[in-house]
Amino acid sequence: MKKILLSLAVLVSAFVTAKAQTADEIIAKYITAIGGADKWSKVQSIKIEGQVEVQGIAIPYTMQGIHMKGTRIDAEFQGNKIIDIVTPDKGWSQNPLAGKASLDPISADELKSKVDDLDIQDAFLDYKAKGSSVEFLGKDEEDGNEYFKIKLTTKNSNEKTYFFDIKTSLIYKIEGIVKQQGQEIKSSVKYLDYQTTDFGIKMAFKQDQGMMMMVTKKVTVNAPIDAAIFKAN
Amino acid sequence: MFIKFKLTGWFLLFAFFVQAQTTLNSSYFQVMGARTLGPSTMSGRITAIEGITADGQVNLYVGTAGGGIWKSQNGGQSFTPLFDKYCQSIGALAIEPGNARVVYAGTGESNMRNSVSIGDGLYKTTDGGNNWQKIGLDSTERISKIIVDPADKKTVYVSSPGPLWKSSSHRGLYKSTDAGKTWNKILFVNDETGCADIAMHPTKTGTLFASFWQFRRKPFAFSSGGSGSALFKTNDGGKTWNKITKGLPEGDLGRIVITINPSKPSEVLAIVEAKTPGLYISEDEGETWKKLSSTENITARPFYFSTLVYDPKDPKRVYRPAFDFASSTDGGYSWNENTFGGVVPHSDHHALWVNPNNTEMLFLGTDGGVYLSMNKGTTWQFLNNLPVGQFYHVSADNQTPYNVYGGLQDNNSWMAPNTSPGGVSSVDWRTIGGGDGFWVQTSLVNPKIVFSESQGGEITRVDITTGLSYGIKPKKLAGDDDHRWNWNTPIVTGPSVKRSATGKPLYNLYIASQYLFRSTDDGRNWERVSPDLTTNNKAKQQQSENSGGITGDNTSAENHCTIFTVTQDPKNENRIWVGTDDGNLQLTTDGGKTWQNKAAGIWKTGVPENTWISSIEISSLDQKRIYVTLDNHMYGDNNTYVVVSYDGGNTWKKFTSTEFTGFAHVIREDIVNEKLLFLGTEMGLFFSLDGGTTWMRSKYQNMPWYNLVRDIKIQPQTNDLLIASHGRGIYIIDNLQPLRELVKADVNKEAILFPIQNFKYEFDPQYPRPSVNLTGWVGETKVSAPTIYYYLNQRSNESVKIEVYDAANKKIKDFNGTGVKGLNKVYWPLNINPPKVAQGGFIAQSSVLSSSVVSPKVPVGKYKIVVKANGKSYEQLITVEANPAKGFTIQSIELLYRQGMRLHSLHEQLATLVDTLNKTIATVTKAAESDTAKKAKLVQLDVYKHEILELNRKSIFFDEFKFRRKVSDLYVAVATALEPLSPVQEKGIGLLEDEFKKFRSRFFEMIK
Repeated sequence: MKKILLSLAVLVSAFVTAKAQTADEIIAKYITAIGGADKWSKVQSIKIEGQVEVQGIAIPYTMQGIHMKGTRIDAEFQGNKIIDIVTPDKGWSQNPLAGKASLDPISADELKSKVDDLDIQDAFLDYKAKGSSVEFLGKDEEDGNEYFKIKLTTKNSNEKTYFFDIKTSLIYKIEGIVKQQGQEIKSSVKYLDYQTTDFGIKMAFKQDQGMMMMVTKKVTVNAPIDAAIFKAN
Repeated sequence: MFIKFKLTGWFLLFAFFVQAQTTLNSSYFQVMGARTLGPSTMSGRITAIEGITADGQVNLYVGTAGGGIWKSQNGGQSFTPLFDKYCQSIGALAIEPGNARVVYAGTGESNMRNSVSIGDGLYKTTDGGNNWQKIGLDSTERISKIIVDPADKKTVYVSSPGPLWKSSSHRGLYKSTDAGKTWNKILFVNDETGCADIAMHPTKTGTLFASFWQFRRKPFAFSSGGSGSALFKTNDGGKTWNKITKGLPEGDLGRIVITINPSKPSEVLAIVEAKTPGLYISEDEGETWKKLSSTENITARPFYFSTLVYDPKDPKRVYRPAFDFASSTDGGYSWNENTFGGVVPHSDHHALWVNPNNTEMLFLGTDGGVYLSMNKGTTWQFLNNLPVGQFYHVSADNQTPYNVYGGLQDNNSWMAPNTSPGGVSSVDWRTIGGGDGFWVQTSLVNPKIVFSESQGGEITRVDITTGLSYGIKPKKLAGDDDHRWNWNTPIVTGPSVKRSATGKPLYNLYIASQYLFRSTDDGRNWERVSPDLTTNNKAKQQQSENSGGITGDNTSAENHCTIFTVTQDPKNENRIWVGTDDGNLQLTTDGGKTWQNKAAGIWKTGVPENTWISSIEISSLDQKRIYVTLDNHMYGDNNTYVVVSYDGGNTWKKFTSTEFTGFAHVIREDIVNEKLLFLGTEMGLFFSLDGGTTWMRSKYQNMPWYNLVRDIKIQPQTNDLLIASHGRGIYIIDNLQPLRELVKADVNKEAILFPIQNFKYEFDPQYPRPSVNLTGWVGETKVSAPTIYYYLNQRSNESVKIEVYDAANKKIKDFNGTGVKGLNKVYWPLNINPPKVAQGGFIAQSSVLSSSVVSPKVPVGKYKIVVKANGKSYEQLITVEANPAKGFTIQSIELLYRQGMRLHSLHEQLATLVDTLNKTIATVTKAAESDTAKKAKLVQLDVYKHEILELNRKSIFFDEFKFRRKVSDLYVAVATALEPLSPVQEKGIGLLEDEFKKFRSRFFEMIK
């Protein structure tokens, strides 16, 4: 009887005590929650097939990436091919719907804002070794739940604020800033529907960007990808 | 006993684990988002402006009295609020020198007027305001200035005058040497005296001045000045201080403003409140002082005007923003107070930022918003983009669309339609009375008659038809004591069953001093229907003798022992409740012949005696249920007091909640569901869905979490909730019906589809619209469409599907719903699924692309709505009705639908034809490899295909009109039209149908 009481007391206290957290503790819990550093550090290439859902329309897309070498997104909507390629020193994009009919180089500023995405492992995995720094921004509330906020600044000076779910340790939301003509424009993405892939890593299968939802259908890790796809023809 | 307690505890614990009950918070109904109406054309009180140039743009942070912090990254051309999760009253801001992204924000305004709000500490951002963290000084209530040492940016000084309404040790000068992590109070005088102002030497940053000020407000008096007030100086960063007196006035001092000349730091200016107030200059770093001549504008109302700013570059140029804007070009020896051309800035100035990189450029913060000068204050322009007006009350009429009315702190009384094409904007607002505005009411029998007031009960009747205004304040008559009118005098209407001599319906109009007055003829005649209903405590009525302290100040703001709130039972005009500012709660049940004070029962619940009655709400569903809010902040008690009586006021129960913050202004019970309650306090809007047992803060309704909510009303025709915020204008939450459904619902259920309200054909008005050059800040539009509300207990990972079926049970529309936790809100824009459109070619930005998105609107009738979530289906019916008043008859809707469907069908037939054509071309292409006849056929087919599809189009700037495009143009026109084609115009459809038949026969001819 005494034993049960004690364990229940522990359980209850786990609910009520708000332990002081440091950024590194939160990050460590997060890495464990998404499958662990060991698994993630083995991710060398990734292929994600999914669709963008916007106003009831579904646009299929494929994202392919080789860690730190290149990423490429291909999508097609009613005959319009949308392509986005990023490599460490160059990038190209094509989007006829936005008036860019051919695959042209992107600006240095745009490349700088995208180059961190070449890290197809997690941004928080060995973040110090990658030259990033973090700042704990305290607790916050979003959509009725509580989150720890951490600001991550990469070596490319890209700054994002991550919301870590206090209960699941997973990232719920990322806020970033896009700078144009001296104006900072805030953007935010919510990460939903975490699923464990065959490879054993956990990923959000939905990214809610407000007006549109990116839905992942299939994830393939470490299948061979031809690096030749990371350049304009 | 012990065992029993334990067992109960165990039981509760297990119950918790066995069945996790859904505990609602306001995120469960975030779809009930409020629309903001502004206005920005009459903005609100600005308390702080700080700027810095970053990335070539002038960045501004603007602090407001009750609307949080707003940021501009383009020199004031547009602003974004960035403090919406925190206390909305801002006292001071400081940008870390050289770093536009590090900002300190001190909450709690220090312009010590009667209606000033309260802060809860100091905040800091390191990312330009996207994220804030509270860093201390929680109990100071007010912060007047923050200085970051430019030589050591980890050193920060914060001056806090401290609490206004009570003694407190939480005031004085604070210093941090670790960028705000920890704080030390480095100078303190006594519990009555706080630090009003600080100034730092521009290069010897250990040299600072700190002015201390003894002050106190009571509900009935203000006192500025006392033996605690003094000017101090340190040369060692605050380790040691000297009191500065040489050349300054003797005797008790009041508030002192101090500023150091940045170009010539030996020169220091100070405005000193004293028996004879004056402007003083020192030329020896503040050691000795001499008096300069000054105008009343320079020295008036020290508690309200405490800004004095040197030009950052010109040692002779000084600005004194005060009642009016004054500037000096000789170091403060003489002043110019004129404005030449342009807009004259709103009076009462509290903030000024001079751009150090371009000293022509000034931003001035006033009681009515921000003004920009590009010529050092010679002329000004108003920034019409900050909706931070401070309403005291809101009311609505019953016109279509209904109008909202309300009075703004120092900014007149206003009216605006609740909705307007393109959104309610500045130009939709009209002023209907001057002075400070408070209550505005319309006649209950003629909405063209409007009553507004300025401070102290100066009521006027405005006839909107003639535009004429009449003063109708009740006059003192024989037997009356001198009337005492509250600053914010109640004007209230109530229905009446009485008729005029000629048989016209009447209504009751009330206004109250210490007496209640009633009129049944629009305020032409007043009948006094009560004795003095207050405590009539003479000690609280000495305003004209001693209010203001050292500087006399008596503007009716401290009038006391007055009636503050009046509520007539809507179903019984003889039953009237009256609440006074000195804690009497009076009830008459005989139309004012006899009165009973029912307050004693409230004090028994633990509310301090004589607490100000801020509002009374009589349930419209049960007249025995009365709610009262009480406000004791003027005695230094900021608790939220709200009580309810279920027995007509004999016994009372206090509502409590850990969610509550801020003294209470208003409580409202829903007019349909008595479990649904709304509470407005100085720091938030709160909902109860269970009759007051539990409460939740409104966080997800598009309003600041700590919104200063002064008044709440429900518009009975639309069931809209109107919110008067004292710092962010008017908010409307459209149609409370889904919230009522949520109150009744079992929220532990996986999903619930609520009954769908029938819809009368209507579309949002498009015109007339004002010029976009004039609209300023614009609010959200009201959406007119059938609205489907459903509840999900958990966020759905799968898409929620919505289907619409017609009366023949044929599915006509599929679309996706949202899948958020709690209430979901989806509009059905009355349309069917779009047609399948023939594929091929580049179609971006053409009617061909639009054709696959737009679709005809349905005829009137019954429709079934099916919501599919988590593998289950939920159904409700909706009736779509005609609305001839808005231009939609049964016939016109039916005809428009039929015309649309002809083209819809044409599109689908064409798509099928093109599919077949493509298949044929594929087959023929294969065969053509060995057959020359087939090659010729292929050419023929290709020519044919080019006649149907726009295959030469490669860019959005190239229009090509082939058959598909012709069908698309007419289809899109009809599908988006709001009236049918005339019989003559409709013949255009027939032409296309004929043309299609020819295309089809040619095709069959070709492949024969």
